[in-house]
Amino acid sequence: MIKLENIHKSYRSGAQQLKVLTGIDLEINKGEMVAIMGSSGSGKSTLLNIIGMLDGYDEGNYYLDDMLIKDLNEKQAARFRGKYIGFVFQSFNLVNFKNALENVALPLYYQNVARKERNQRAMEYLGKVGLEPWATHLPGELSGGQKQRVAVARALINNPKVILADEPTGALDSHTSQEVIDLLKEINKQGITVIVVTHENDIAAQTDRIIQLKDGQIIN
Amino acid sequence: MERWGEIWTSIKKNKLRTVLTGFSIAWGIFMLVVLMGVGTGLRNGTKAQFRDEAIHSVVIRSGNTSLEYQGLRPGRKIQFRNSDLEMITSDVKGIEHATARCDNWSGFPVSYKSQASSYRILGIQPEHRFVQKTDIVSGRYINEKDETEKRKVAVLDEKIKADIFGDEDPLGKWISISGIPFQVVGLFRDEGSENQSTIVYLPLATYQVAFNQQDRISRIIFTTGDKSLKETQEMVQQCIQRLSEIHHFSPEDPRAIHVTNMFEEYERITKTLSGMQLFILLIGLMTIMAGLVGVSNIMIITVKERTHEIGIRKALGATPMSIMKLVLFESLVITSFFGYIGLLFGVVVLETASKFVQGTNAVFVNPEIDFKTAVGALVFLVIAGAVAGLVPSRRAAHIKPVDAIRMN
Repeated sequence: MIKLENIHKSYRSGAQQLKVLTGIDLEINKGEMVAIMGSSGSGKSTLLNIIGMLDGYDEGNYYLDDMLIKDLNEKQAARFRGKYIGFVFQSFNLVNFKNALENVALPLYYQNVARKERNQRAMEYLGKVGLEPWATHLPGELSGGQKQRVAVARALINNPKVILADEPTGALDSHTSQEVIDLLKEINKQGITVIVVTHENDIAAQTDRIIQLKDGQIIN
Repeated sequence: MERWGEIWTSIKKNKLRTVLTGFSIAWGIFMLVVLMGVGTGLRNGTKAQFRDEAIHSVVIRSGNTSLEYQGLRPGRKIQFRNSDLEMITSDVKGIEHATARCDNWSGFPVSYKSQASSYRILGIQPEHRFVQKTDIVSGRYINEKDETEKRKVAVLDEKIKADIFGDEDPLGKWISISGIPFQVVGLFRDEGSENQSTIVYLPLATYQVAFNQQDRISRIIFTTGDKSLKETQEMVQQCIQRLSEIHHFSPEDPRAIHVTNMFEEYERITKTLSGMQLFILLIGLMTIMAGLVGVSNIMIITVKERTHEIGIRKALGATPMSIMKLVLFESLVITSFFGYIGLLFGVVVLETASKFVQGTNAVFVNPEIDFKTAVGALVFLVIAGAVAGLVPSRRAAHIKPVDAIRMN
């Protein structure tokens, strides 16, 4: 599903060049659930951004579902993101003036799905994460766990091939963390590839494979 | 549908800011509309002032010399005579209609039976009716035969009928002017301003005999048809030249004769008005510009505040174009809505003002903004809204989702 060949990425900050990724080779199969671990500054978020097409890379090749993803313009990147990738973030990143249902339906708006169908499907996915009764609540009225479940429903609504979760449990207590991880595992069982960035060992241990990152390289 | 919802939410969140900026747009359009209406009013007023006289006409009156000339002392009175008119009509090319006029400013007593009043009496020639726009209400105007036969006939302002005839029909009746009997042959209505004195027209030749004027005339008036301003100015120069030769005054003497070139006056005033209108338009546009900068500013702030949200949207598959539209439409909605309100208020103010000045004899008539200008203003607003939204919306479209999401 995902194939990275010798990926290099560096950022410019002033006169200095900061090398973040220095030659990443990685293959993740369809239906796999992997954890990316590493200390802060190891480049794990950058790697996730490249996989999620939120960011480009300087060198190497990235294949998503056998398509070469390289030098996309913003419009193409947006289209691919909407079609193939579902994001789950540490800080949930819900739009705070939209209610749970509207938040879940938002990606469909950018796929030009009609309003009625959008709301229907959003309700269905809210049901899947057990939040149907909370559909009309604003994010501010939901608990952290509930917010993350809304975010997961939103990530799923486009039928993505890959779910990218960046520290999905970082802002949650251990009990709700487990709920969210269980949810991700369940999604994975339906055949969707799941990539979780985390620094919690017990979370990583529940995945099929752990990828250790250090100084911009994979060390295991 | 969805987009309007988004815009509405954004506007609702920043009510005060939106209203304040919208006000500056509304104010700008309001000022533009009112100022342009005032400009049109002044223009209409000027046109109305000229409606009495033919615009393409020249009036020559005699005066007293102020310069020594050919050994003659200054202060000499210049007196026009019948021969002067004949000379001008034969020597100056391009004259359309010409008439001489005898005037008596103090007025003569006019009476019918026991009713009497005093009116301004003018001796004129038939062509005078083209020089001074006059409508014959009943009967006829002074004609050639009246002139050649020195008939004792008179054409009266219709206002005189009520003054001294009461219910009788004045046509054919004999009136007495300064003790001399004249037969009424026509009634006219003058489009001129209300304060113009009530007039009785007599044939010039009859006037000169009846009031012992011999061949004296007080002014020469002619029209120039469709001649250009330059051509009429040349004609005026010719007149001055020929008159100065006959009456022995310096052509440079500003007081010997007084020439009024109506066309020149009209052009001068219209030019001044056009300049003024342009100036007014510029002020209006500047005011709107200030408003637009305001809109642009709040949109930039709005975009800044929504950076995080825009980042999320992009992560969820929003294209730069869709983000750009989101911001652009908000700017359009704000400018169009408030601009429309300003336009509406401006029109209401103009309508009210035009009701108040109606009927008065002012230099200010029918202040209005025509439909075309109003539509133009609206189109301008929409374009302006788009321009105001351009910078902020481009900024929004180029937000990098990675950076935006990290912001939290």
